[in-house]
Amino acid sequence: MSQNVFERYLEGERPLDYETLSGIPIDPVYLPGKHLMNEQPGVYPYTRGIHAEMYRKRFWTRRQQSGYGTPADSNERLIYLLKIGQTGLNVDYDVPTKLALDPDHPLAEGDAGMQGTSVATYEDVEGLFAGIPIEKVSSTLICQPPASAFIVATYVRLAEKRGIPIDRLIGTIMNCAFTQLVGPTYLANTAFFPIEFTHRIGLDVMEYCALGMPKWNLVNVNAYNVRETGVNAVQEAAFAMMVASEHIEGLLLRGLDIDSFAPRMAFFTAAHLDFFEEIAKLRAMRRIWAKMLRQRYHAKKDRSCWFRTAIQTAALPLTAQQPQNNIVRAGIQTLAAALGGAQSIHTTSWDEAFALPTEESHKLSNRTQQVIAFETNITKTVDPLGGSYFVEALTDRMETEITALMDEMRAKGGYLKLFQQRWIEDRITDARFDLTDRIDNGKLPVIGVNCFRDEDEKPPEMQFFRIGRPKIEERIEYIRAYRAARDPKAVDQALERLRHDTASGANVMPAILNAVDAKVTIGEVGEAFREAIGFRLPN
Amino acid sequence: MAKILIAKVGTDAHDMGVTVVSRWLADAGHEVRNMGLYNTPKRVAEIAREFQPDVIGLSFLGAEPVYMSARVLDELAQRDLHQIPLVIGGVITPAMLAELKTLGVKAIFSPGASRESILDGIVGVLAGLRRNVPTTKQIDQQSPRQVP
Repeated sequence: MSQNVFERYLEGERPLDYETLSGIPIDPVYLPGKHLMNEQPGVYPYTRGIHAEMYRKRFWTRRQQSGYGTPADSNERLIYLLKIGQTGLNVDYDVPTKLALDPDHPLAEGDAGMQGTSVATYEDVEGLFAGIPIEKVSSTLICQPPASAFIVATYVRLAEKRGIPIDRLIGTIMNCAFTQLVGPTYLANTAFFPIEFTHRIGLDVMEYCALGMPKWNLVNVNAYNVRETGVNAVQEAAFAMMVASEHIEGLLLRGLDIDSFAPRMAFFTAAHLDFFEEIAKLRAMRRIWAKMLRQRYHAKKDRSCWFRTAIQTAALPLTAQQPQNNIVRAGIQTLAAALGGAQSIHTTSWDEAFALPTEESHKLSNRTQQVIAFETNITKTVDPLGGSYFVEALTDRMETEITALMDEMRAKGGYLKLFQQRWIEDRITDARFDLTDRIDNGKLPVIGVNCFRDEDEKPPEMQFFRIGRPKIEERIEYIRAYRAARDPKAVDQALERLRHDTASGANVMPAILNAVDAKVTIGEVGEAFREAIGFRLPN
Repeated sequence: MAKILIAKVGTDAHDMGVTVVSRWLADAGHEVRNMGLYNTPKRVAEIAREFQPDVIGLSFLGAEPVYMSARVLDELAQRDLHQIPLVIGGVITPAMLAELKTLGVKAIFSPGASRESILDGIVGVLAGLRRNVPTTKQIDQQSPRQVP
């Protein structure tokens, strides 16, 4: 790009290359040919959408992630989000909770309540959902195994205490052993528990949900976090499908029928900035999932073949420079998610390049979705881009590329093996260096960062969200007082049973429910798991 | 060329920054030790005593960088290592920038900081130390692409 402002008109501006973000070549023009689209939405292989009428009958759910500070802090924000028109909840826990550490663990010292809400006890869950009718409002609970076992058990106990039969609970436990934490990086997913153990507890939770909670989604395969490590759309889709395969095969080995759990499996994918590639990716993923379920796993129910996905607009391309540009980026990404046929959308807030969103920016994310849903009329026909020569060609090409990568991964032994061999890690590391190189050498234009920069840019003068230190101390005091006030004998017995069931290989859910009743904390559950399998924390 | 210790402190596992920046520094000829994820402030200080780095770099996303940096500086001071300059990178609000400078953090790199600005910034911090000049101004001059 020209550095001289007076040269730009004469030089003209054009794309730096003719490829998608995944490197798929883009032709000057697409003509009718082999890409004729005669499929109906709501019919196998569901390329055009899983329902016949899609948003004509029901918009996607507006489901902004939320969670910070104490459960009471988060409860306030959750109710605020419902009041401004959000239609589902998406509850995020802090990292210590996700790692099954109590807030007073030395490693949790600075992180309790920082990137989500701090939950360590059953009573915390009561506080988090106070005043929220969980039989009417669906919640996605953002937690991976093994901590997800505690999160599901406390939610189940909350329902029972309120007199709600658990077969009426609506919502989702994310529960993906391989990608939920920060994507599939090696150390993040192996430092606190061995990956095989995490996978097993994930399956325990899925099995428990499949048997008693028919309206509850038992896993959300987290493709979004895969993508946010820097890999491309093809890798995002292929890795996620192979992770799903790992879950499916684990449950089949336990003797479950494919149609007893596949309808309750769902995905969480990214909507990045390459508009048409993202739409094509989602259409291809629906087709690949349907074919995989029918042909490889012999599913009979149509619902098993539905690729259902929550979408978050990718945060990786958002910038701290000229941050209001992020509002535009997220708007375009949200449109791609809707045109791609999402079941729910989280529009990433513009200020997330600095902090968790404020109430104000959370509202703007909701409004972005509402403008698209209520004002643009894109919702009034299904798959409006279907039949576009370009979109159909790109969908076919994405299907080919994703399937080829899946075949390669299957031939090499499948996801778990490739994760253990660091093959996944190597792909991520390569992608990270490639991405940062391309930004550094200008091959990937990022407005405000490597082009159209404000050389004298000042920090934005607005309030950003900040939790600060005091709430952390509040949580540490709380958990210590909580432990001191219990019946220690009941706690010991519950932990003994949990260690026993963990070591014996039984499904741990009954022992976890029992532990919740005995006021065992999430950190104690994590510690009992490690003791039972003989795993020690490093350092 | 310098000895540089890089770490993530606490439970946050977003490690793209430390991965990429460690390689950039190593490619530029520095001796880099990347401690990776899940370190306590105490452990960072203990490894610093052993490795004797010329500079320590921490990376944050979603944690409280001011609190954590203060804790690391405190642990360093307890071991008489307070002379080792601390630089940080990550997702940081404008309000935190001022607090971090007051704490004594020598350079701060926000998302989008270029390779050149990070390499120059660290060289600048080391040059400032040798000249023994006050560092706050140094930060602004030496790493022009940070969000000031």
